[in-house]
Amino acid sequence: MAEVYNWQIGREMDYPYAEARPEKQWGAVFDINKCIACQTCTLSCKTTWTHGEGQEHMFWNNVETKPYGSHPIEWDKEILDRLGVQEWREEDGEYVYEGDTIFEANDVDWDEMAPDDDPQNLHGQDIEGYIPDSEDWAHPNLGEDEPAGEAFESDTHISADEETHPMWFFYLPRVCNHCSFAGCAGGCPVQAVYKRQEDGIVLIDEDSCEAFQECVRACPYGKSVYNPEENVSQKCVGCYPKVEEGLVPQCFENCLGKIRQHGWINPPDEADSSNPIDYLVHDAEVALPLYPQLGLEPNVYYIPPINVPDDYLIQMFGPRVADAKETYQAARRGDEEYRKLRGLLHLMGSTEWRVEEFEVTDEEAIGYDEDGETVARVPMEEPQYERERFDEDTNAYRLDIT
Amino acid sequence: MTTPPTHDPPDHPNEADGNSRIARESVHRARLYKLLSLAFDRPGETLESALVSGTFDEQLLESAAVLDGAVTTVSDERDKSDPTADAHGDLHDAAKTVVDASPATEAEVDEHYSTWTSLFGFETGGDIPQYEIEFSPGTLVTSTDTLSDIAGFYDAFGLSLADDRRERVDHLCIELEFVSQLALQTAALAKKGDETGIEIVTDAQGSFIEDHLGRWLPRYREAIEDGEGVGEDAIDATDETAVDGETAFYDALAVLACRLVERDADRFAVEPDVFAETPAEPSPLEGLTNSEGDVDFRCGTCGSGAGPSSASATEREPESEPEPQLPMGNRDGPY
Ligand code: SF4
Ligand code: SF4
Ligand code: SF4
Repeated sequence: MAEVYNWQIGREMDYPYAEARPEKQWGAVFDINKCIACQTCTLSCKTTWTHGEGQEHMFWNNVETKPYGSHPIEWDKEILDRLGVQEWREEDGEYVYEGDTIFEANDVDWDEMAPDDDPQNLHGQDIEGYIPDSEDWAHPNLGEDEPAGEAFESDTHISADEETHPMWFFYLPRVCNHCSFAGCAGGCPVQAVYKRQEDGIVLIDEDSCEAFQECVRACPYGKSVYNPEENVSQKCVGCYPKVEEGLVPQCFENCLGKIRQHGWINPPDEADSSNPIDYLVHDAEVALPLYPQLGLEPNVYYIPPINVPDDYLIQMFGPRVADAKETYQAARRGDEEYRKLRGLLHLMGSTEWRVEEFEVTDEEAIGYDEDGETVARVPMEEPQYERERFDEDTNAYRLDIT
Repeated sequence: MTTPPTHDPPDHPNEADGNSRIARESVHRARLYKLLSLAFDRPGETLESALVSGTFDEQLLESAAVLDGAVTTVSDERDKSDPTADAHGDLHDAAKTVVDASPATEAEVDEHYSTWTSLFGFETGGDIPQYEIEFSPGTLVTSTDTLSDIAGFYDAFGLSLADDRRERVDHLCIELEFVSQLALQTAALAKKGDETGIEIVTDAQGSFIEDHLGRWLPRYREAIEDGEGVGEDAIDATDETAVDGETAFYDALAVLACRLVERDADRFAVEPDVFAETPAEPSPLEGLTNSEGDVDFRCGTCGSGAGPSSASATEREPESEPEPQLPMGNRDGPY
């Protein structure tokens, strides 16, 4: 039985293949609190990679409003429905997922369903999933800005110290997660989907792809998409040509809100505190995987939105949400204990180079590339100037004094 | 490898025959493409003098006839295998229609200028675009790869736009002239007996027709046929028969261009995938109107369950291959 250890769910799980981790793993942290849904990321990917015929419906990067937005339509609701009850249990401070992952839901014995090169052996059909209808791809930004919770009244006021808001929505930017236990790779009957040894980027080899669309079915995130014009499936390529040069992907570099940090992510036992991604995920534990219960060990991590009630977020990011929100709040307040985290949050998105190591000094946060060269410096405190409220020369009061 | 001097008797007489046939056909193909390019362009002095002197008509008919003849020769050889190959005469027929409709006097040429502008000119609101991208899916912004592909073709054969012609590379006349140039290069190479060279320019013509010219010319022809360019104003402002007559010239030209490109597609054994027709008015509410025509706009989040396809567990013989490995690869592809 191919059993792999998925640290995000705190246990071993079934997977069609044996555990094989690449030398380095492409990873990312998105700070949801800062995303403004400007869709610059979406367009930067679209104009770079998916402007061809047959790619009209493809958004390798998309930004959806939660809870009502989704692309493809209702991808998350659909897969959560299919998985049934998803409970977590706490065990010595660690959380273990007790429900089924998409690889386990159909009780397959993967030994008997071993993937081989035989296209007749559609072993991937036993991975829980579905192929979205064409209609489902046709409305990439449905539900934008639709709030959930209580209705707005004329006297609605949300006070600053309120922990979560009575009405809320948030933006969820999404790219392929270059999963450690990729559903797309697990489902492909002809092994056209592969993981790159040097950076863990998951790619579809278009020459081998036979358009079974099993990867489309098996990716619960809706990130593998069929191209009817080329008759192959296609997905986010992690901007590997840039990544190979030490640069961050297009949708990261162009992010207006500077919400995105790209880097390498290690498993917890190999975590390196000077690596920004490891720090955010493993040390500060402020960034969490998207729907970890699906079992893919996705490598894009999210800092959850602090204004949103926990129950929805726990379903989406797992049981460590409350702690993550608290840590983030503390860093924001300026608690001395979270100074390093605050520095790193300032550093996010500040350079087109991949920051592989960072440091927070008394005055600033500094990012270094692979060779230890400084690629980013950000002050811990923005210099601030204050002017007199009353301007004697013009005998007028200033409205804006900082 | 050295090329044998041209005055030596050729080693393979058949090959030399073949090459002189290629040279002859290529020269005429080059001339037809060039004439088409000239005729679709904004009318100027060159076109005017060619029309008034009659050289335009003469050369068009001659080259079309030669190519028809050439096809007869070729099809004679393959007649038995391909009964549909009797394309004999259809280029000449099209050329004849062009000639019948072509303006011949200076006054007619002047009229002709306003027809051109009413069809293609921005100044009178002529709205038939002469650019490939306007017929392809997507917008200019999302089609820069197409532009760079076309520019790459020109560049690869050492061609560039004349300094005083600022034009986008996907303009009809430039694309036509490019094929004309390549046909000329073919003729020159055929004379030298440079087989590798011939192969390169031949492949390029095939690819260019397959990827570009052949994909949009039929749509362009339809646009002229539908008379999209003749706005109401243009008809009112001009003598109606004259407009019809002049439009006939462009109708016929477009037919000729299409036939030439279709025949070349066969010649180079390529199959251009013609762009789909773009709906005149794409409606964002399409499919959202009910039988009364009222807009029934629903957000679509409700009741639009994604098509479930039940995962059926198929019984299989147990296999004794433990621990299959996740497909891995590197930057050169999968292992
Ligand atoms: S997000 Fe989907 S497409 Fe991307 S690696 Fe994971 S399973 Fe594959
Ligand atoms: S990483 Fe590159 S390919 Fe992937 S979504 Fe971002 S821009 Fe697109
Ligand atoms: S560019 Fe950045 S801020 Fe804008 S929508 Fe994308 S992730 Fe959000």
